[in-house]
Formats: sequence, structure tokens, C-alpha cells
Amino acid sequence: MRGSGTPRAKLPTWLEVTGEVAEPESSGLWHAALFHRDTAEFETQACLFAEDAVRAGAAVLIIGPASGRDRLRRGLGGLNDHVTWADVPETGANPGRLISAISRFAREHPGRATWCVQHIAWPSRPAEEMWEVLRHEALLNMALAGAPVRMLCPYDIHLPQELISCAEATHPVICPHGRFQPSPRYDDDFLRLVPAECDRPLTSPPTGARVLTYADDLSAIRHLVSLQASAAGLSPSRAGDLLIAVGELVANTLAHAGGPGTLTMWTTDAEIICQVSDPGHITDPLAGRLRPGPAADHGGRGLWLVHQLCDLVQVRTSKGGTTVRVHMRLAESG
Amino acid sequence: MWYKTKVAPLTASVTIHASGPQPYTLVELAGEADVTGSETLHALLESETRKRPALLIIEMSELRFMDSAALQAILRAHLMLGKGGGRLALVSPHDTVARVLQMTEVDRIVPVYASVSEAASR
Repeated sequence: MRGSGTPRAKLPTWLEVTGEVAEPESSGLWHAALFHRDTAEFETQACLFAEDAVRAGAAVLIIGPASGRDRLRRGLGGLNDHVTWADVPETGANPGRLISAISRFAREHPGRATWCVQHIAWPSRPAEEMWEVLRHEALLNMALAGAPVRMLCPYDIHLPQELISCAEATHPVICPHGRFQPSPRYDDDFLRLVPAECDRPLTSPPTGARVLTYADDLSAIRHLVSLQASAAGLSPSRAGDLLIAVGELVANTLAHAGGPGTLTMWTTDAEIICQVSDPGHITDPLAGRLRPGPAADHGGRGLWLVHQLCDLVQVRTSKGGTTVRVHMRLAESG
Repeated sequence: MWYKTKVAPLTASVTIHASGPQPYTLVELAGEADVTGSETLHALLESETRKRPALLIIEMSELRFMDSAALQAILRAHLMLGKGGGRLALVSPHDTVARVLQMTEVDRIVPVYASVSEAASR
């Protein structure tokens, strides 16, 4: 998909992310996993964090499900005036959008640090979403390296051990018993940043899945996506979003892969799923994670749009080819 | 002057309105604008932009789909026109086309109008 060439070890700097000059004295990204036993422990730590943030003059962003918001709000008391809330639905909150959202918040508060509570991992969250949460945590280290941003990410210790280990590997700082300390599992080599567990092969499509090969007739492919979406009962506006997303993926095949692609579609009780496979290789792990400015004329909007429009996006890419699987929930999740 | 060119599955009609208080070039797009037609669309918009119109209007009411490659061609026309003191206006985008303009926030930098007459009177 994304052109040829060798993977680059070069880091995107905060300068490139925001177009602003980073403060030379900035201590850079601080990214911590808070391992908590219960909601009360998480809330206590989140309130202490917000208190410190306000004292430091930082802009405070709390990302999390609306269901936990009222309790946290009560705990914050007078600090509420200083907090911006970003609700994520408990289902269908694609973590692939968050780097772009956090960068934007930071840009909107120039000259101040951003302190963010990022509550995106919870025990009832499906495993395939959790692995994308952890991929996002890994990529955040790269995307916001050097940025004046502090992230506090709560993880319930009752999550499966493999997820906890992965959270330790994707956070430079951990807080296992109420004390912050460097994570022994964190490896700051950016080429190995995304843990291998996040790249486990996708499950096979079901036998009844519809499989279509395309070379250049993208219009026909989009038409079939529309038919499948309306047959599945997806609302017209979300069917439009899926059409835009799949349209971008099949366009990427033509623009970057240099070979035919395959679209596989199927519907489950809860979702419609479209998967695009082609011979391309996406060499930039941050592709689609950072918002191109509205006037940017260098492209880079396709995968970003896919992340904004779909409820979950799973990318598996190597020299042998790329598969992008997008999920749309049939019930409106906001 | 008027001509029509087909870029399957996209059709573009160009009309140059030279008379009147506000001369403008009108490009009417119909069908689907995607990566397969984006270079042709870019070439068409570039050749019209080279004529340095004060106003280039892209009418989109018959445009059913636009991907980011086609959007790119439109953005380039916007930037090129701006350098020469001209301006670009979009008219009647709807459904997924309007959604793409809104998500990318291109609708914040390129003005969008409900009709050609409205765009031409600004």
C-alpha cells in the first residue's frame, strides 16, 4: 500500500507533529501505566494527577467512557473547571484515532503542557480491541516523543496477564503499587516498539464471507460495499462512512501496491467487517495516526480517514503484503 | 466557451463565464471522483487555473463520491489559485462528499456554497 522503500528508524519529532517549535527545556513525553485493583484506586490516582496538573499550569484532558465520568467528576470537585472531557463509547471507540486527538488538544493549548488521563482499557473490552489499544500505546511513544505531554493510563490488574505484560512493555513508566517507577519491560528501540503480540495473525474470515478481486474498477467495488452495508442494516450515515473508508483502502491498492487487491466482506451479529488485502507494504507504523493539516497537499489522508470513520481498524503489513480489516458496529455507538 | 470531458466514472464539464460583473470558470463534476481519475482531474483543474480566473467554481451536486486523491487535486487547485490572487469555491457537496470535506476540514479553508449564483455573488 504505502510506497516501497526501507523502514526508517528516524523519529518523527514534536516539531513535525505540531508544526510548532518544541521548548528546548521540555522534558518530553511521560507515559505511565497505572495498575489499579479497583475503581477507587484509579479515581484517587486520577484526582491526584489532575491536581498536580492544575498546579503545574497544564491543560488537562480526561479520555474515558462516559459511564465512569460522574464518579470521577465528584472526586475532582473544584478541579472540574480545568478539565476537558473526551468521552469514548464503551464499544466502537477506535484507539487508532487517539494520537491525532491528543496532538490536536496539545496544539490547541500552546505554551502549556498537556496532562492526559487515558482510560481506554477495561476488562470487558474485547481482546481484538485491547490489542489495538496496546498498539496505540506503543505508537504514542513514537508519535509524541519529545512532546510536553504526560499520560496516565489506568489498567485494571484483573486483565489477563498477557495484556498486563504488554502494558508494561509499552509504557516507559509503571505504577504497580501506588509508586511510579521505570518499567523494566519497556524497550525504547523504536524499531521494536510495537510488541509482537499486537501483530498476531487475524482470525480467518468465515466460510460464508464474500470475496471479490479488483484491479481498477473501484466504482463497482464501492457499489458492492454499499449493498452489503444496507443488507446488514447499517444506518445510511454509517454506511456512507464505511463506503468512504473502503474507498480509501482500495484506492491505496491502486496508488501504492502495484497489483490487484482482494476485498472480503462479512456480517456478524454485531458488526459488518470489510477486509482489503493487496501486495503493498506500509512501512510507516504511524501511517494514518496523525492528522494532516487541511491545507497539506502531500496526501496522507486516506488511512487517517479510515481510522476516523471505522469502529476498529486492524492492519497487518509486511514485505509480503498488507491486510487492513475495518469493523463497523451495526448498533449506533456514537 | 464550453467543453466536456469524460474521466470514467467521472464527468467534468467546464464553462467559462466571461461576461457579467463577476467572471468565473464553472467546473461541474458528476459521477465518482476517485484515484483512477484524480490525475486527469488534476490536469483539468491545473489547465483552468493557469488561465488565472478570478473565481473557479466546482459544482458538486451530481458528484456521488470523492476520495482523498480527488480531494488532493481540488486542494492543489485551491493553493495554486490563491498564489495568483484568485479563489476557489465549492458548490452543493452532499452525502459522502460533504462528509469527506468536513472530516478533513477542507471545508474550513475552501468556501462551500449552496448554489453557483451564491458563490458567484460573493
